[in-house]
Amino acid sequence: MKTPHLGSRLLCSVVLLFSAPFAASARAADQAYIAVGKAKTRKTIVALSPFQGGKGSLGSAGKKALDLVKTDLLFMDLFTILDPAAFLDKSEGIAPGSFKMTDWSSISAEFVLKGQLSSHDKGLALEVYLYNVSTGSSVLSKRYISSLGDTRALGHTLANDVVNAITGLPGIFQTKIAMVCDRGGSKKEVYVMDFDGSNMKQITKHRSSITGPAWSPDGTKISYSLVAKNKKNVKNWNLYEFSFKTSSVKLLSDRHGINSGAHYHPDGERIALTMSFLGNPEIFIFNPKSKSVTRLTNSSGVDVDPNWSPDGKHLSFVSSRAGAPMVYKMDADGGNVQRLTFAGTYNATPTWSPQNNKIGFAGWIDGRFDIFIMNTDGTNIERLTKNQGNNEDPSFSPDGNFLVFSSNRVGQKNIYVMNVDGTFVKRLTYGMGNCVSPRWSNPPR
Amino acid sequence: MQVLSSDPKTDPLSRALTVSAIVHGAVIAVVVLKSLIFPGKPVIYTPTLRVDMVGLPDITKKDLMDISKALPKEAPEEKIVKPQVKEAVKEDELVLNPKKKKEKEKAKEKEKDQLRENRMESALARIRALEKVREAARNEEEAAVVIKGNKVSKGTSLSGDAKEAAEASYYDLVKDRLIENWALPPWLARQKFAAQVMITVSAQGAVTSVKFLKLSGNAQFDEAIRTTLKDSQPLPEPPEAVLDTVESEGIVLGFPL
Repeated sequence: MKTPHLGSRLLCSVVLLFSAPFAASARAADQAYIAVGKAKTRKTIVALSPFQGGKGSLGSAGKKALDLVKTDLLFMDLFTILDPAAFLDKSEGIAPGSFKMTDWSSISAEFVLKGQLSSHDKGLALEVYLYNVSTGSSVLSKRYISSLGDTRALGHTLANDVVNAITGLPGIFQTKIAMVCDRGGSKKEVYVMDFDGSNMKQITKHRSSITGPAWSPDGTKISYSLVAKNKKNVKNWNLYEFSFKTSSVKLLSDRHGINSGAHYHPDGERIALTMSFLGNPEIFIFNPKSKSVTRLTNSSGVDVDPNWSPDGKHLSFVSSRAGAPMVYKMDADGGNVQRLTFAGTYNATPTWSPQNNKIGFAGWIDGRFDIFIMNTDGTNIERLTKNQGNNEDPSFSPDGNFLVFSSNRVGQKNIYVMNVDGTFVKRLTYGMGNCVSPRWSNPPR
Repeated sequence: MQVLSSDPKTDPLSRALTVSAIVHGAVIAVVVLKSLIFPGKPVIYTPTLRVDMVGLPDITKKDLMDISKALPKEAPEEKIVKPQVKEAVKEDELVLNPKKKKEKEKAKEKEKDQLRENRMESALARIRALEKVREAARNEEEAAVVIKGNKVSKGTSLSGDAKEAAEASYYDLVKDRLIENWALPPWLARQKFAAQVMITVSAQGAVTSVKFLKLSGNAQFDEAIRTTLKDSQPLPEPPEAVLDTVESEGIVLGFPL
């Protein structure tokens, strides 16, 4: 055995001397530590008690609204809806204390919705309570007035409130999805549909090629880019804005070259987009009021697809500055540029989760694009789609539970929605030709 | 000698050989002396990180979740009493190994001495080993006698290792019980909440106090933890070795980490 050098002995004693207080403090907290780990997921059990006081047309309107609430809640893939056949509560009471909560806890309901219908000048009034069965307290109590014919709005509004009361997240049942489809020919126009694929409406009639639709945060405007001829009769990618209030279209920018890939800042006052009037495509901030622009990126590569973080402090974007197109992020003033993805060969179209905890993107793998999500620092990349054709252009739902994307899994490109676990995939578009670039709106304010 | 001394100065080959021998000898001497007088810095082995060519994850999140669900639960750790015999044998080997090296390096006479020494040492080691084996057997017999009873008598104190093992296995049991009941609604599981709770446990396994050391910032998440603790009661009864700790000091639980 060799004896240790004097130096190393000295070092040891110095280390011991300095670590002694820490060791002592560690011993003071001499508890065992158990990391319990990731939780299992379990759907919340909800009971929808039939509304009281419903007779004739009033009753059927109430039933329609309640059926829609059920459909909406099931769409979320977060809830189990109890079968009314199991209900024990036969009382007519809806107010707190007017019925036995144990009738609901004994059938393992976690939340119960109760409502009372009555006639109103405008049609019907609906008073509802949503109870947390374990605490016995109501988490929602509200009165809705609706016409007898408009049960769809009533049902969606109530479903939004129920989801918000249970999850604390905004309900998505009155949100819309904008996209570009080439139905009935080669022209690509902007269409808008409800979150579930219903109520499809054509918005633009340019008879041209439109790309990159973007919702204003309040949902009253959609901007998009389109190929048009400029003053010198040269083809140019111009930026336009459609207003739902006035049903009119306004030219925002026809600077030379590309004016595309727009994304509104959460304050609605600024638009981030790609412009190439200086030559190389770079990311700019465009002010729709003053029409002024501020340059954010300055790289030798191509910088595209800007996407604001929900707090408006950062932007994710795609850049080819390091060779392969990869996802980057930067501060709102263009500083502090950080590369987020190093994996793969081509990562595009980042979308920032409204909960500010994830970024989704399309990545090239196995000879096609698939949808991935990762943390906002680029760690923990998770694959959501596989072996289902090309899956591109993801966009988060405003509650962060879903991603809408385009996929050619059945031949033509259609719009699909899936939850952020990659399960529960639902097709939304039928017979609209090729649909691409879906963008989810915020809930109406 | 005669051949060498006949005409060493005139024969260029032998002269060159002599010079070469002197120079080589000098170089070796310098190297050896240097290493003896100024021992050089040891070469520090630093493990290098191996980075594979980075690709995007191949398996989907859904499939990963399905795989982890399908995996069987970890088999309970088997407690193996360290066979002390092995240690003794190791000691013997340690003595034998240097012998092999020395055989090559040392002169024959020294080697003989060494061999003699080694033989004696290994003989001694064998005796020690045999003693240890007998001792282990005795201990095993004693242990077997104690374990045969319904309960371990209070007077038997566990040795360090065994105590740690008992603690670890108890905490594993607690963890398993908590995992069984640790569930969140999907929308909460998708967000990044985390909390730390300190609990104390009675001899019967009842949770006697719950204190949040770190709140998650989400009331539903914290409530889910309380529900988990409620549903997990009674926890496994703490063994003698850990009872004091879990009754007074408590256990810190991390949800998820």
